[in-house]
Order: sequence, then structure tokens, then C-alpha cells
Amino acid sequence: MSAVHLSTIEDAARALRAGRVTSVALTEAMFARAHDLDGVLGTSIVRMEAQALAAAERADRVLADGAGGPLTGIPLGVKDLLATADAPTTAQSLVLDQGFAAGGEATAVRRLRAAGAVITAKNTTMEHAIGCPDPTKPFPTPRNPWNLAHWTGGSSSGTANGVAAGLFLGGVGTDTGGSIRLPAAWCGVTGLKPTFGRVPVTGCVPLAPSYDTVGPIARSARGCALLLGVMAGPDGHDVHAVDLPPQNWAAALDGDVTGLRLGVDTELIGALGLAADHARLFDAALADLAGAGAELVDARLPHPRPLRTATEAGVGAEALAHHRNALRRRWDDYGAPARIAIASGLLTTGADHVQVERVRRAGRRAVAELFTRVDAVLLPTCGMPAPTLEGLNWAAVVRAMQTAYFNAVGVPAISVPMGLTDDGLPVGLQIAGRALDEATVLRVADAYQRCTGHHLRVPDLTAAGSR
Amino acid sequence: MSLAPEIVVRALMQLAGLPLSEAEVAELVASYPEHRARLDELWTVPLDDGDERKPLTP
Repeated sequence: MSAVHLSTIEDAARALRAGRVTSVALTEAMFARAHDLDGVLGTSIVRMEAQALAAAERADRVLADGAGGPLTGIPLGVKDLLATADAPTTAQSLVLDQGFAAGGEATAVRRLRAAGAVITAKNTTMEHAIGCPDPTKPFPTPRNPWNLAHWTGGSSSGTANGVAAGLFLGGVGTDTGGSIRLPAAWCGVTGLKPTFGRVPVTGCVPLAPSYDTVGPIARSARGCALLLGVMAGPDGHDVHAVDLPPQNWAAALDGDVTGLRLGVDTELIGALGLAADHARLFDAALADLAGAGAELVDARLPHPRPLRTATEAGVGAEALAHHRNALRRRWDDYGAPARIAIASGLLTTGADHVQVERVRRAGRRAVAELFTRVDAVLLPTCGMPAPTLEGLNWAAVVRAMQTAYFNAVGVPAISVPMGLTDDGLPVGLQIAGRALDEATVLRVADAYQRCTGHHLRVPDLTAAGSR
Repeated sequence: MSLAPEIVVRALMQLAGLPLSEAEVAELVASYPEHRARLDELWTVPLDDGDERKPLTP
């Protein structure tokens, strides 16, 4: 079977369609890898092996008839914040109602199944998608497949490390302040936060409803485009869903970025204090895109710090509103990192929260104006590579993240691997674009991946027990 | 002023009925001044957002 389980979704789809592998064989191979590695990596809370293999058998019959689409028979993992009919949803929390969406499926999951995908696992997150790991609670601690002593980033942790390690080919995450892009960057895979409302959040445990976004994680931008093309579009339930049908984003990827104007905020990036090796990788990424035909221009992101503050304070306030009663009743059942992060929402007053929303509106206008002059902006996904789990400083991680800005204004942003630091840890290049213009964001990401091979690098997990 | 963050944090947590440990209170007290300063910075952003009522024109 060679290494189809370590390939991209699009390559695996070609292999399935050509009959070089069956979905059952591919799914079994990925489960075998999960048996070896999941306990070390902390990827999944539950694997649905019988259901997945039955789905793979159905997919093989469809493929044998020459039917199906690019996701038919493709093994995927789902962050355990989204409901699936075949397994409970925990949000990695002892507090969440054990019957959350029982028997129902999140819209994104239901659409992926309808497209023939094979859902293999519910994956680890941070509790309720906020904070950092709490080893005192009875859930796996996700570890970075490039160095097991390091964190994956969160909160779509298991989905990102599982794609990197070859336990499934892609998956679904959620991103409220960076929870798709940060683990994608630190695990060396590709993760897209679509425009707010592009993918319905129906059936997804809420964190902060005016920021929560469902999106894809895969090895490549093209894989993300394939997943987005299935998950996007209104469902009649999510009141925030954008009333636009999905596009065939993958079909539009032709590698051409000639003449696209890509903004780089040199002032903001200079202030990040990137380590020399990290800065070299970012500079090389800029050179690669310029070499591909894009025009790099200096561009200032408007209100950089206030818009980050807007997300951090706004998410805290919205999360507190959702959790306040449960926090009073079940404080000790929450993990310490999640409960303190949520409780900090009390430090934002009502007037502060109104101002957060006013600043977000002003920010959306200012960012829209910026995107009349540039087609996308480029910056590191985070100002540091993955830290060690031991001594993890959550506040330092939040300061280094460059993702929350785009949640405040709701525009799409993708993180693509841009190489390994001198210590062998992946870092990400973030590409953000105008609202509802995932097409350009994916185009730039795909063009970058055509001229680099960073997204195809796979961590060596032999010592961790992989066959 | 040095006492203010502790007073604010303890009062807000108590009013909400959240039983923070002393270590958790200390964590929030330590982060509060920066948090407050960043919130105050939100009022420096030019808004021009139509929130302010404008006079009706015929």
C-alpha cells in the first residue's frame, strides 16, 4: 500500500479511484497506526472502528461502481466538540451534559459522511476548547508528533497531531481564537479558519458564539479546500451561517499567484521578536511566494492590539455567559486551566464588552479597506514554536499567537507549514484574506505548497512505536 | 492602587459565587492590571461606526 496513509487527501483519493488501495485497507492501516501511536500521542478520545470499517466497505462499493467524489473512502477525524451519531461528545470535559446532541450529528460531520468520508475518531481538544492541558483530568494529553515532550497547541489538538502522524488524512476542528491554526502550525499540517459563518456550527459545543468557526485540517491546502467544499453552506439552523452556497474551491487551485498583492506588516512582525531560525523560515516563505509571481507590499494591519484584545476579552465574556451557572455548581469538575480562563471573563465589564463589539465593527471596516489594497496578508501563525508540556506558560503562548486578530473581524485565515526550526519543530505561515474570499487564501497557500515541500514532511515516530 | 486588583478580583469572583483557590485568585490578580489596561485601550480606537445618534435630516 506504500504510504498512502501518510499522503494527502487528494493523492489518497487518486489511489482509491485507481484501485491501488481500497478504503477498507486504508482505514485498517490507519487504525493499525493508531493502535501503535494513539496512546503516546493522545490523539483520540474514542475511535469508532466498527462503524468506520462499515463506512469504508460502503465507500469501496461506490468506488467500484465508478461513482463517488473526492472524499469517498477518505478516513477523517473529528474534534470532540462536534456531535457524531456513533459516539458521545465530551468536549474533553466532565461537565458537559453527557447527552449533548445524543444521536444527532453536527452539520459538518453529516455533510462529510454524505460525501462518502469515513469518520474514524473523536479527537482530543482542550476542555471546552479553551486553555491548556490538564493532566489531572481523565482525558489524554495531546503530544507533538515532532517531539513528544512538546505540546501540540490547542484546541483542535488531536485532529492536528493525528493528521501529522498519519492516523487519518484530514479532519474537522474549530477555531475561536486560533484553535485550528495554532495546532496546525505546531504539528506541521495545514489548517483553515474559514470566514465566520461559512460552515454552520450546528451540533458543535459552543465556546463563544460570535467567534466560533468550524473548519478543516489536512496535510495540504488542496485537502482543506476539498473538505471546505463539502462542509460550507447554510443549513437552516445556524443563525450566523452565511447565506451562500459552497464553491468548488479545490477545482480553482491552479498555482497561479501572478500579480496578487500580498501585504506584510513589517512593523508588527518585527515586534514579535522571532528567533533567528524562525525569522529565516518566514523570510524564505516570502521569497518563495515572490518567486511564484506574487507582489509583496508593506501593509499595516489596522488596530493590531485592540483587535486581539477584542477577541481575548470577548471570548472570555461569551464563554463566561455560557458557563457561569455550571462553574458555580461544578467548579472542581472543570479542569483548572479551563475554569480560570472562563472565570477571567468576569474581569471584563458590561461596558467593556459593548466596546469590544464596537471595536470589532470598526475593525471589520478598516480590514475591509486594507483588502482593497492587498489580496491577502502574510505573517507567522505564532511567534514561537511549540513549547514543552512541562512548565507550559499559557500566557506566553497567548501573547505569541497571531491568530486572534482575524477572529475579531471574521475573515478567513489559513496556516501552512513553512519548515522546521533548528530544533526540528514545525512553524506556520499564516495567510489571511478578505471576508468570504477563501478562494484567494487557498490559492496563495496552494501556490506556496507547490513550490515547497514543507507540508509533505512527516515526523519520524519509529521510536514512539510506529511500524 | 496596589491593593485595587486584589479587591476587584476577589469582589467579582465572590459576587459570581466562584470558589477560586488562593493560587487562582493570585493568578488573576497578577494579570488584571495588564488586562484592564488593554481594555482601556479599546476606547482609543476611532469608531465612526454609526452607533452615535445623528440628527434626522429631511
